[in-house]
Amino acid sequence: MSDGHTSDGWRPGRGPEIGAADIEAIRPAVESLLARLRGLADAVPPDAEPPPTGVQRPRP
Amino acid sequence: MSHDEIAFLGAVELGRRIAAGEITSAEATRGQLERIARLDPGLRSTLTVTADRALADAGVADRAAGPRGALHGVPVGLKDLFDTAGIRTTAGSKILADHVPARDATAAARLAAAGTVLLGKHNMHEFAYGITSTNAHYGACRNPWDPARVPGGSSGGSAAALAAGLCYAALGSDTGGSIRIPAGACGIVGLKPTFGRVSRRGVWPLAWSLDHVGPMARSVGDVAAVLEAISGADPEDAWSADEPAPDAVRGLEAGVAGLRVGIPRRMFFDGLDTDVGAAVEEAIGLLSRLGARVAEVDVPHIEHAYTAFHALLASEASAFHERWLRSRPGDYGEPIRQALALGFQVPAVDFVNARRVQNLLRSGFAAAMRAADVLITPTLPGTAPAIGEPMTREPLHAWNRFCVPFNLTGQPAISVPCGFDRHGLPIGLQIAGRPFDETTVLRAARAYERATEWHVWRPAF
Repeated sequence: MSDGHTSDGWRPGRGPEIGAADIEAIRPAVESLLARLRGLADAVPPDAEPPPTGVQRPRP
Repeated sequence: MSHDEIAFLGAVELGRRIAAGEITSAEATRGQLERIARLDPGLRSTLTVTADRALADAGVADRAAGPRGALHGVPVGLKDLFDTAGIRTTAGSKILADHVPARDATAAARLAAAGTVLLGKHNMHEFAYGITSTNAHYGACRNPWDPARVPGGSSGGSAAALAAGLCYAALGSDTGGSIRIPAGACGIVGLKPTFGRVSRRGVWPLAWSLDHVGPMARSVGDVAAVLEAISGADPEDAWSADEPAPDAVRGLEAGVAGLRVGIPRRMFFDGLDTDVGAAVEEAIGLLSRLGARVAEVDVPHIEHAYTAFHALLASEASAFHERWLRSRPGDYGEPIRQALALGFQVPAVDFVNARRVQNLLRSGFAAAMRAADVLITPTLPGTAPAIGEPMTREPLHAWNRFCVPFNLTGQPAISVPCGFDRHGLPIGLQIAGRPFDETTVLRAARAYERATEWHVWRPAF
């Protein structure tokens, strides 16, 4: 529990403060998104950078 | 010419007739207000009708010494996400039900400065966070082609109003397809311009890095005219690009002979409804017969686009709404509140990785577009679903999955009508271009439109 996860691996985030009941209702959707995000992380090449931020012309 | 025929004139054509003295803005405005009063109770396209202001503005337009431009005196509508001075702006929400802004959004002010007449504020998905426009607070907006179906969203009211002849042009916003989805579902034209092309100042945000403002109308030429009116740098929008308004109208009729058309088959053509697939293939064939050079292209990492989009959308939307989510959770419709709750579950590391994928996609599309001047895809994998039908954000099945890549890359993309399915529902063709090259996108769209008649079909509503 010290890392913010419940015993079954569920990560409540700010759930206790915001929308705890809603989060339980959408738990499958959250778990699906988190699983896909893990797949996305595996697919990102090590040298990939995020887009520029800061004072830049906002061209894609 | 009957009142109904006048109602379906193009915006530029109406402006021309007003300038020529063939019809007054007041006559056109009264006709639109009468149609809204008669037809909109069955559609719920318009949340606030600004009849008094519209008639006053029309009178001003008619008394002007000369037209301010191609849209002078033309009645228009705004998605209720755009601030309007002295006119309630709800963002489709209960939370902003009584919000009356002091200033117009920049894009709304520019459209008004072009001499247009504001008819009202259009219904939408609550806070633009959804793609059906089934609004828990103001009623479900309905599709004029089949009122049992959604018009798409989030700019659904604007698309429904255009399809039903209840305005001549409108402004929408597009974070994950919210202009192009309803344009496709309602058989009208909607353009998401390049990120930064049109100011977002005074438009309620959904996700800052993905939000775009753009025009909606019944023809490509009308969309081009509105784009010219609203584009350009805005010092009050930090994300606004230092670019002059495009010369969007002049090159419209140049055709597609020699234009390189790229077809990104992978992902963009998976899981299509049969009628959609046939209509889009027919459109590609037609462009080829018109002289375009068609070739397939591929975009690396496209399979991760929707997940990256979802992580960015959910995180940014929840960041914006956190204050109200703490203080007024019961004032959100349940689907919006749950989508916002999900945003708090996205780890920061995944948010950053989504941004890295966003950059990969920008590079990948830029490379693909060195071999193609425009890309062609379906706007949507299927036509409008029934009101109440569950929607998913699973990447392989999401209704807006072909739209979101261009929100990540920021490049311009338009939806134009390209047929009807076996139920008589409109099908949309998406044409995307290089950043700040709306002119080529509009030129290709107009060439297709000129060779077809889908855009002049009208619902029986």
